[in-house]
Formats: sequence, C-alpha cells, structure tokens
Amino acid sequence: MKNPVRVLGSAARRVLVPEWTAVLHDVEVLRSDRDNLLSDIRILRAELADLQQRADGLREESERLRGRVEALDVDIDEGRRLSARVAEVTDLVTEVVLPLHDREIDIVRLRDDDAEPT
Amino acid sequence: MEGEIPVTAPVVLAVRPDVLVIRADPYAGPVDVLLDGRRLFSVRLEDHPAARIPWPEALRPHLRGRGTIALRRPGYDPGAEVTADLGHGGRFTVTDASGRDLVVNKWGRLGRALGDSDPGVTDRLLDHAEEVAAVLERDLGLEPFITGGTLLGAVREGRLLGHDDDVDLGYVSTQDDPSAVAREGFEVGRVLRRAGFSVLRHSAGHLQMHFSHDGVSDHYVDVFAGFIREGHWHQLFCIRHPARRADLLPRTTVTIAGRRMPAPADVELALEANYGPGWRVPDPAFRFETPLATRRRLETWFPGMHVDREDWALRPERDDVSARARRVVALEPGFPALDLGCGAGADTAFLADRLGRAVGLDWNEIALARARTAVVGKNADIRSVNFRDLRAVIRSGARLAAEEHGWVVLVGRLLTVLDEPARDNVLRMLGMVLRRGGLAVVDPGEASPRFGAQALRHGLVVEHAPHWLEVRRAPATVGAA
Repeated sequence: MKNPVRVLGSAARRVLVPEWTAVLHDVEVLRSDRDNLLSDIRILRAELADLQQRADGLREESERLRGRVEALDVDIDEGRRLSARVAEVTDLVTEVVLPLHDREIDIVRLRDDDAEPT
Repeated sequence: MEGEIPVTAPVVLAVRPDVLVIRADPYAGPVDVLLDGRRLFSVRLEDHPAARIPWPEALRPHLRGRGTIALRRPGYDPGAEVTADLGHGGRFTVTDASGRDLVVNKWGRLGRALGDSDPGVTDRLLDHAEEVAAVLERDLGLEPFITGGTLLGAVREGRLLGHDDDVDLGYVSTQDDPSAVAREGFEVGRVLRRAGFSVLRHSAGHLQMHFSHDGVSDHYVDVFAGFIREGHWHQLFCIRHPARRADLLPRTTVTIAGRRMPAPADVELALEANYGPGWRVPDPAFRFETPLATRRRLETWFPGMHVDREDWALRPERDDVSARARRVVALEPGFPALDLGCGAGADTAFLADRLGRAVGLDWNEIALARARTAVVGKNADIRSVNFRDLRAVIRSGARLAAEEHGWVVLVGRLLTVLDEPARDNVLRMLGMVLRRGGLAVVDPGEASPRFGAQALRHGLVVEHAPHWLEVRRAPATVGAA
C-alpha cells in the first residue's frame, strides 16, 4: 500500500510544481550524460597521453632527421668539392703529367712487380 | 590614369658626410644618385626606410670637395640639385688614376660604366666580344651567345646598358657533369690565351678577357660556362632555371647598336632565368639574390679562384725591407730566395742583391706591377701565382723544383689571408721546392695550430727558431709499404 503522505506529497508537487517529474527525469539524463562525458574525458586523456608520446617521438625523429639533413648537406657539398678537385687533377694529369708517350718512359716503374693491380 | 599613384621626383634635403637625407613619394623603387648630373650609384628606397641613404663604402675615400647631388627615378627627370660641400676644398669627383669617371657597380665596388665612357667603347666591346666568340666557335665548336646584362640591354633597349661595364658571353656545354664542364672551362681558358687574349680566371666556369685602349684599361668580356643538368639550365654564376637544351640552342640573333649578335633560342626564358620575371622593368639598383640551392651548387662545383684579389689590391704594401729578409741574408743560406707573397717586391729586390737571385710570387695585381718595377736590373723574377688554383701551384712549384738547387723561402703575409685549400697549396709548393734542400721561414703569427700537422702531410717538418718557424723537407723514410 502506498504511503499516503507520499501520495499526498506527489499530488501537491504536481499541483504546485508541475515540472517536477520532468526535472527529475532531466536530472537522470544529465547524470547519465555526465558519466558519459567523464568516460569520454578519460578516453581523451588516454588519447592525449598517447598523442603526446607520439609527438615526443616525432620531435625526436624530426631532430634526428634535421641532423641527418645537415650531415647530408655537408656530404653533398663535399661531393661537389670533389667534383671540382677531380676536374683540377684530371686537367693537371692530362696537361702536365701526361701524355706519357711524349716523354722518356721509365720502364722500370711499369714492371709487373710494381704494378697495382698486378 | 585611374588608380595610378602619382610619382614625384625624389628630393635631397641634406648631404652629410655619412648619409643623404631625402624625401620621396612614394617611398619605394630604384633611385639613381647623381653627382654633377651623372649617375654615381643606385639604391632601392625600401632598403633605406629612414629616408637616409648611406654613402656606399667604396665612395668613402672620395667624399671630399664640392659637387651637386640629385636623385632620379629610372625613366623620369631628376629632382632638384643641391650643392654639397664635403670639406677639404676642390671638386667632389670619383675617378680612376686616368681621371675617368667611376660608379659604384652592382658588387658595391668602384668601376667604370659604359654610360660614362666615350661613344666608341660600344663598338670596341662588341668587336672584342665577336673575336672571343669566333675563337670559341672555331677552336672548340662551342656556340656562344650573349647573356646577362648584354642580352638584357639588347632585348630591352637595343643597346648596351649605360650602367653596365662589359659584354657577357655564355655557352651551353655538351657535358652535363660539372667536373667535365669545369675541365672544358680550363680548356676554354687555354684556347683563349693561345689566341692572344689577356685572360683572368674567376672560376673553372668563368673567364674574363681584359682589353686596353689608348694605353689604359678600357673594358672586358666575360665568358660563362653553362650546361643542362637535372632538367635545369645552369650558368655561372647565378642561373639555375628549368630549361631544356632546345630552349637555348640553336641560337637566334638580337640587335645591339645595329649589330646582329648571337642569342639563346628563347631570350625571354634566358632573361627570366637571369633576372626574374620583372626583367622588363629597368632597375639600375638590381642586385643578384641567388637562391641558396643555386649558390650551393655553382659555388661548390666551380669555386671562386679570384676571391679577395681586388681587396688585396687596396691594401698598403710595404716599400721597406723587412727585418726577416735581413735575418735570412745573415743566415748565408747559399740558395736563391723565393719570396711567397712578395707584395711590392722590396724584400725580393733586396734578396736578389744579397743572395744573387730571387723569385717573388704574388696574386695582388697592383703589387705585382710594383714588384716588377722594384726588381728591374736585378737577377729576379716576379711571377703571378694564384694559390687557390692547384694547377697554377703545381706548375709553378714544378718549375722552381726543376732547378738544380734548394731555396730559402720567405712566406710573407700569406697564410692568414688564404683559405684552407690555398694554405694547403702553399705547403704543397714548399714540399716541391725544398726537395733539393733549403728552408722556409714562416712568421709564427701566420701559422695555425694545425700548421705542423698539415706540413707533415706534404713531407715537411716544422721547427721553432728564435724569430720564426723553420720548415724543411722531412728526412726520407725507408720501407713504407
């Protein structure tokens, strides 16, 4: 059997505050929403931590790649410098050192024993 | 015209020893600074936003006397002249030793401008450019064309530009490897020398032929190497632009001062590659802003061999004999002297007198001329050697080493003004010339902490003596594998 006081109270609330039931329902819905949002926040925090970890990794990778690019730049410049040096040395050899057939040839220096590769 | 901004002549408000105070509206664009009505230098107003144009550094020694100053936008009448008095009396002039007017060129240096020269210079320049081009065609099968400022002047104005100072020729190599292009560039130099031209090498891909008129330096013709690589046209010293060989060859012709001259097939592409898309608009204040990617390629493949030479020419050279030369004589070395970095030749002449013979080497053009005068009548040679050029160093070193004696070598103000490869070349030369004995004396202030280690690589040992470092050939080692 219902508590007459509660029944009376409900009736009075319906008369005096007709939105009461709706409010109670809204409260339930809001509680549920809050729980869902808290759950979302936990998930987002976990994802954020994951992203921060990935960002740290990417930052390290970026630093590593920057260092590598600088090293490659140096290597490229060195390769280009060598290209200039090859031109100089080749020009010297062809113009000054050679042509061998125009000079007295030191046949001793051309012995197989001294040659590399033999 | 609706929307057009009215352009007024810029005005000089004050001429001060450090700056020109000006007013201009709009405050933008290139402006010529005129001295007594002739262009002295050009600036971009955006570069000097405080309405103050500093005098270029190259003009500082000339800032004295009275003259009129005015400003002019290219293509417009000049603004009002103001009379400037920079003190010390006389006229404010900027001239060379022959009294010819000079301007500040796009490199910030003093040079001559065709607009200030006699009218005959255009014909002389074009004659010489045609002679140079003819040699390149006849002896090397190259197809030279006008390029750079010469092409710009031809296409835009049908003449050489008044603020220019030379004729630029370029060619497209059949090679695409920079090393092969550089080797070809060396051959170009030899061929032009054999043809009788006075050739100055700026790099493996840039040569300059100098010409005199009436006994004084008159003009020069540049020759720039070019090649197609990775879909780009490269041309010393600032071009790297998407292009195919067919964009440049076969050549077309353009007209300069009524004369037909060879030009790249697509002249508009060539000018855009050189000066950017705004090449049609005159800009006497133009300065090359070469992209880093282009600079890194061209400057590393074709390193400059002429760097600093013009600055060295401005430095004072001593005319008195150094204490070091006197100490070397006191050693009674018994060998002729080799004076590296001989400057004006005071030590070379002294050493020739005291040791019987001396050879002086330098790369400072003005000092070399003075040194040659200083040793007249003495048993001495003055030779021009560029220590940045390995080929020149080995040729000269071999020539000196071929003599059947050792040398006592003075290393003058040399090592501290050279870069690392050139310093290495100095040691390379010492290693060659000291093979029959002798020693080199080096000021301790000249030697870097790594000097001893570097010397060792060239078979040299360094010892500390009271006044200097002594460098000798290391004793021969036996049994090296």
